[in-house]
Amino acid sequence: MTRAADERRIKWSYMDHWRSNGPAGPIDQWHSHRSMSSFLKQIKAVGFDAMDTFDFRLWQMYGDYGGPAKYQEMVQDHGLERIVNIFHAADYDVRNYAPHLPETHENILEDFRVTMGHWSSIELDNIIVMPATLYYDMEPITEDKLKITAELWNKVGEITAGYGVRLTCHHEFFCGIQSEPDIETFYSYTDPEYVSLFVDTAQHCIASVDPVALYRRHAHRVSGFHFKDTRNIATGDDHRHRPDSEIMAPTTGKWFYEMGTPNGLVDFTAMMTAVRDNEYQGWITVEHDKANRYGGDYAESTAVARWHAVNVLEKIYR
Amino acid sequence: MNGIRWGYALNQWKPQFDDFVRREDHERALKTISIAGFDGVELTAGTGRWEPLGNPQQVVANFGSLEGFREFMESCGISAVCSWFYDPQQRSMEHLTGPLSPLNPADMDGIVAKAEWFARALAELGGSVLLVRAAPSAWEVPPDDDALNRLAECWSRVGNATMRYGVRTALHVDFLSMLRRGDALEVLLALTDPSAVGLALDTAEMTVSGIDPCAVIKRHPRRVWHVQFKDALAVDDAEEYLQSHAEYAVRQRGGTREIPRWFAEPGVDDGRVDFAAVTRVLLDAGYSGWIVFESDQSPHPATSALHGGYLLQRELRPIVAAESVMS
Amino acid sequence: MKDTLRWAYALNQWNIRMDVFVRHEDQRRALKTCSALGFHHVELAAGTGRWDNLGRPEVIELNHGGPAGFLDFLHGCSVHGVSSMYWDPGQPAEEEGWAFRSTRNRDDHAAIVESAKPFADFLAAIGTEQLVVRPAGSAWLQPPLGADDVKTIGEVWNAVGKVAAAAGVGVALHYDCLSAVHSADEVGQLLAATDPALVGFALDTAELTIGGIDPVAFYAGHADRVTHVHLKDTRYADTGEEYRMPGAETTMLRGGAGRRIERWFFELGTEGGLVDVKAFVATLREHDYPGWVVVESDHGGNPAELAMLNSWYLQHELGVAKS
Repeated sequence: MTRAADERRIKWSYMDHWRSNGPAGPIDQWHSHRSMSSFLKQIKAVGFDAMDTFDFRLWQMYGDYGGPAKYQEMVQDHGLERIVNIFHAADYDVRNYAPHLPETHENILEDFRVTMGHWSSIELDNIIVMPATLYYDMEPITEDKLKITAELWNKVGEITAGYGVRLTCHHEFFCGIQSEPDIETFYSYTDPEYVSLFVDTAQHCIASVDPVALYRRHAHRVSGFHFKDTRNIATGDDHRHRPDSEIMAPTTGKWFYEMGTPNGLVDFTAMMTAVRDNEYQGWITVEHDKANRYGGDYAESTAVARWHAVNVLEKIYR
Repeated sequence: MNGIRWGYALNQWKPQFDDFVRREDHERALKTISIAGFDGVELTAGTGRWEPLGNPQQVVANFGSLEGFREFMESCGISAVCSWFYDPQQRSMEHLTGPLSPLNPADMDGIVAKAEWFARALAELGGSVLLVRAAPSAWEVPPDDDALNRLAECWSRVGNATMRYGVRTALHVDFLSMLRRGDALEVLLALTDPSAVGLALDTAEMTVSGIDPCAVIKRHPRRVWHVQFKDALAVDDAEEYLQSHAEYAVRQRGGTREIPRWFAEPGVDDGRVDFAAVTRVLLDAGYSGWIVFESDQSPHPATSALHGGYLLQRELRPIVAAESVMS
Repeated sequence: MKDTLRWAYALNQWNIRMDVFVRHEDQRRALKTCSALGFHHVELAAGTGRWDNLGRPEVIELNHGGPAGFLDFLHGCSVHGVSSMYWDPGQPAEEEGWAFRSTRNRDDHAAIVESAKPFADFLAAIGTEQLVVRPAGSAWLQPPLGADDVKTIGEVWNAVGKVAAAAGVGVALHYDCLSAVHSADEVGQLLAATDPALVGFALDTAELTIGGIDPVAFYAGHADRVTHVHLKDTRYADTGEEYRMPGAETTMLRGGAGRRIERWFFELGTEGGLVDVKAFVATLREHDYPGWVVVESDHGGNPAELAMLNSWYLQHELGVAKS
């Protein structure tokens, strides 16, 4: 069967880290209905089809909009299709929430039972998790710990599947499962039916893992992407810096840049070629976490990233 | 000779949870505050690894020890953390605790323990006042006698506990507070032990509430233990603070008038607080202690600090100096 | 933008200070932003010196090697070309020895025509249609227009129009709210004093509104003369005399006009906007307006954000399909 000429296999979603300048300093779009509308207009204007967000926004959705379904109506009123993915930003803690520690598993499973209930009023593709604690809270990373972690996510994936949502893992460079061998071991113990991989191009790159090769190896279980760029690879103890690596690593004050940035380390052309070769169909999410650092600007980063998608990536595969 | 010292609140540098995390950001802010003419800084309690100045555990995790943080501050020209603002309704990732309420007797031990945690650290950092959010918002709870009695009991216990570290507990009353209703604040002050609990007077929160800060100082000259100089750009004269979720609907979004900004640094154009007048009233009341400049939030934190510094150097220090000469 | 109208975006909003928007990388980001939003043509604004490196033909050539190099630069950002360029001959330029010239002064006319030539030639070389010009200086800087003044001003623009036409470029007189040619009547006189075959009118919706002239009615009355459009909104109008305030560029437009107006120009769809954008665009369509419609927000706020909001308005409120 041939596709219609204008039929697209890829749709583009935008991950919410947005900041803009308010009268009393930087605000996020959840500040008011007005700032939300302005945000939605901007991402729609550059041609995004939908959005992703964090699940800690749930309370604002309830408080300000009457719940996820009502909030999604506002999203749709601005011409966007829906909310595609939710990022579950948990407070990892070895005392009560650590995937490699079995004694914390029941607490984590209960968290997902509650969380999935909250989101059941809208259709989601994925709930995205960082699959491990911070690196320094998990090290040394052993096969045993990886196996225990995998067992947890198999169970969580079963819960989310009950809601029609895929559980997918996003490997931050500072989390316990970030090196290539550890990622491979982890997936060897997880059930492809219940645990998917979410490829974040920048995070893997920072951790010295080639995101393209990783994707090619695991394409059959990849359920989404964060397309973002970086200019730096983690060196020394960057990935295990206490108390924080993401913002406080001594070598690098800003890890993430929008796709299309000069001196970016991610080869998006190769990435998109791999996406084409594997005939991936579905959503790609654009992200540029902390774009406003060092004089940066979310609106412009969003436009430049979208330009790259249209003018470079869609020429390869769309 | 009066004992007034001038500080600046760091909260304006952290508009979002992922801002103001790196050491160099702190260094630049502290140097800005120092060169603007301030001697101490006020911290705001926070939780988690992106709040390096949020609580004693995070300070130690980042600076090795409290002493290490003090040395860092001193290297930037700041001599002390004069005060710490603690809101018990904030959860604690360090303690795995959720919001605590001073109205709930079951939470009282937890509040006292946290207050001591802050007070012990504050003493080591050269500070003398723990500010506490005195009461929940008015839309949540009415200030009946029972509630005021429970607040009084909680804060008297906290005050006695922090005193052991040489740190005084001062009640901070914001414009959403249930203590704004009727004579609740007066009643609460009467119910609390005057040797254990004082008032942290925030000029802007009072002004937005429609209360003249000078009148409060004159009424309670011995109870004012801490002062925050913050300017107000509007007054909540329609009592919008009684709306549900006023934290978002009114404070953040500006209520039905969509006030873009309730607060600003002292010295801003169109500010409603007369800081020279408040300074004179404080001197008349024999106030001795910290006066902390604050903007709460700012489109340009360093500019706010420098505008504040200008007002301090050109107008307020001379008033205080003249008073010292006379006395 | 796929539409019966031709849409472009003005780059001036990015150039907010003398020392910004100088690096090519910054310009590329702005061009890509326009492109991603569906604007494939941009308007340039004249300037002076090596930091205004999109401001004069010789400076552009220094940066890009010539017209072809400059077009390559634009094409690399998926911007197809330049719709127009704004130029004020009364704005002294380093490259011309900071000469202070006035279109009211016949003695300056030859020099003005001479300085227009390189602009016209360069614009022709890059396929640009319109040289958009400031016809007269600010009202506060000069005595009220006398009987002969409009005629004098008309003469120089006819001469510039002739030079530009020879290169294949149109000249459009841009109305701004501070101009000595201020009232609808004065604008009418100026148009009457110029040759319709050589000189058109650049209608700026916000500037006219601030100046007390209804852009919809004005267009309907002068459709045959309008060859260029700047589309932007404002929330304020001049009270009648503010444009005569000494230093009005600063005291009125940046100093709040004594009314604490922090910002005059706004994106399309702004709350409380005074321009009836939909009615105006409908009028353009009714008349099959053939020229460029340049969306502009001047120096109103975060440039990328304003461009995005403007594009959203075009797509969702004006029914313009993004190409």
